[in-house]
Amino acid sequence: MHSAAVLRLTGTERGVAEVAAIAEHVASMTAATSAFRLQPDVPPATGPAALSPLIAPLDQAHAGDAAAALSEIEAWMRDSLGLDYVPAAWRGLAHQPKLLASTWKKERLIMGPGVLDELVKGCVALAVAEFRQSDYWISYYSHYLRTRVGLDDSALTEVAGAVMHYVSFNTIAHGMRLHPPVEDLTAADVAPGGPREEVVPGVSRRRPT
Amino acid sequence: MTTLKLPSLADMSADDRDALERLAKRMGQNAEGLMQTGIFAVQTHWPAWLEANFEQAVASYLFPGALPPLAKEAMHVGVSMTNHCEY
Repeated sequence: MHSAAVLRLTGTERGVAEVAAIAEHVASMTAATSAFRLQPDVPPATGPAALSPLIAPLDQAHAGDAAAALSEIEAWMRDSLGLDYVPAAWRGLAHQPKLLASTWKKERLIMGPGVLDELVKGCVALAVAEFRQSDYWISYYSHYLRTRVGLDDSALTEVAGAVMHYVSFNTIAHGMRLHPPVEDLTAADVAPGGPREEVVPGVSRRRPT
Repeated sequence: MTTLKLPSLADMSADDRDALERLAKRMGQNAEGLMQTGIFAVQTHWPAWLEANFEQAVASYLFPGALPPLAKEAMHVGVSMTNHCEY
């Protein structure tokens, strides 16, 4: 249903593909940080970790074949998030250098410039992290949104409130077993004047009274 | 096949009918239209619940705050995909 809105607002199927890419990427990363049992470290942790990692993140000095990728990540973290270290999630993946390199490459592709801008991409990433209840990635992407696009507490609460709504309505749709109202949509279908424009929710929504 | 058969306006109590008509007007449609199909229709078995959800939606997903509509819609798609919600 809301894919139709993204198609309408972006004018291209690529917009929905970018959302799907962020969703699957963040979901997969939540699995990794849970597997490593990592405590949030973006922004920097202010106290000792409650639990030690199950898999200790590698130090860059001992990263072997992963050193080059970690150096690239370190530079990006410094330039883009104002951090002077490589977050533990990436140093955990460094135990498998090819996994680290391919995952970082995918991260930069998915979160980099595209049809969706940095604000929208960061919001999708945070929303999925919140849905997955990942302390690590909620902290990471909250910092990302504060640093990269200047979101404040009010705006981050707006994200959380929207996620509450999605979870509520997903639950209703599941519980009431609603059928998907659309399939095989194209951007042209839902463009203004297109044959399926009526399925777009909210784009021309009236302001509630 | 949905879980519940959609209700009819004629079978509703006067209070529920009034609540639904009032809410439908706020949503820019009439009660019959609201009850036809979709995520809102299945909540019309309990109009006060639908109204509570609508109020919450106005304060969250529909709230014109710092986030643009595309961010709200993209987050909705991302969470729904992760939650296996086909609707």
